[in-house]
Amino acid sequence: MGVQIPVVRRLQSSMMDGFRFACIAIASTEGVTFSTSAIAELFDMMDRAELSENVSADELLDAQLALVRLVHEAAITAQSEGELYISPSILRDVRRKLCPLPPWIQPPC
Amino acid sequence: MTSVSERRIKAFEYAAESIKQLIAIATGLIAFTVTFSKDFVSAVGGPLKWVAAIGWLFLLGSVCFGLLALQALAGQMDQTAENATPDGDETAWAAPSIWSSAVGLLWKLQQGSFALGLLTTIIFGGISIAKHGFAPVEKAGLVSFTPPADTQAASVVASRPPGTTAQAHDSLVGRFAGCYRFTLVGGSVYRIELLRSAMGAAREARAMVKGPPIPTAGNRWRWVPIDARHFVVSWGGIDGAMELAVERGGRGYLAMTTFWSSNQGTTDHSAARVEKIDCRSRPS
Repeated sequence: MGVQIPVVRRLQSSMMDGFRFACIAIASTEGVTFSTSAIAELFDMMDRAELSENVSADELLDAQLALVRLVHEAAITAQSEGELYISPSILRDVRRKLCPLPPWIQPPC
Repeated sequence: MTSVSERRIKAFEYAAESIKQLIAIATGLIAFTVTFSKDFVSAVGGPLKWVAAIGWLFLLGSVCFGLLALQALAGQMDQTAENATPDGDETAWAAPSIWSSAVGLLWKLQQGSFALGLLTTIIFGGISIAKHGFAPVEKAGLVSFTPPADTQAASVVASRPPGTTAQAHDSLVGRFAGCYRFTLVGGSVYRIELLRSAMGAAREARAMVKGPPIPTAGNRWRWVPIDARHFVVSWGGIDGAMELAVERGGRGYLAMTTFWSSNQGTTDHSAARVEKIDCRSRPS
């Protein structure tokens, strides 16, 4: 079974790539993109979720989907405010609105 | 000791990379379509919902088969441990191959499942668009009232004129919903789509104005039907507000525009020409 551990980790990273891809595609669909710092903050949240201990696969998937929904809301907000970019402040505002997200993927709301 | 050739190692790396890419795309597709499911899946009938669900199942299956295929690849590298001699002679090891039955089967299942999932999703999208058209999205030059996250009957009730029943209000909403071209004094033209759905605490939605000069800060657009002949479209920003009171007459529509400027402290009234247009038409 020792062989499987790195394989599973690789799979998680592939799925994480998928979620990142979805986030960017969703933002593009709404006609906006990410500022560099916002995308770094988002990916940091995603990675924090992935690296959390004692979290089941179901919880992890739920959390990643919640983050994708957060991106969708942030994209709508940015678009409605006439912004071309999702800024970290928009991301944080929406995150506060969507609380409670799982506490282990973000600082407390 | 028999080492695995570099070429074979490369084959394993490429196979794993290919599997991982398919997993990433399948995961992304699931996340993308699930996010927009409220807009698309909720708007379609029962049987069509199953098509979407089947598509997700295939894509999920593709991810799972991908996982198993990766594990099978890892197993290939170590499959002959039992054949090694007790003194560690590994000459008895069989050459690992990405074309072994287990890896090949799982890989094909992953690809097949992905293809079916993609096909099903495309079929769902095609049927959905054919039946219901595109979801209301902002088009160039079109101020679009964003559809709601979900039906909020309470907010519709909250915004309807006093004395109007919810059914009557919904009927009026259906009567006026659609796309309109507003030509203001000075020649400014706005294409505005009135949607049937409510959002937020009032019957409103926010949109980015792509049209001619109008204060852009904090755009908030809303519309509300008054009676069988009148409806009001309003825009509010940080430094100004505008209201278009529209009357439907025998020959078409007329509108009175009121524009408030908080910067200049002025209120201007003017007439506007209104035409109902096809939402799919291009800006002229």
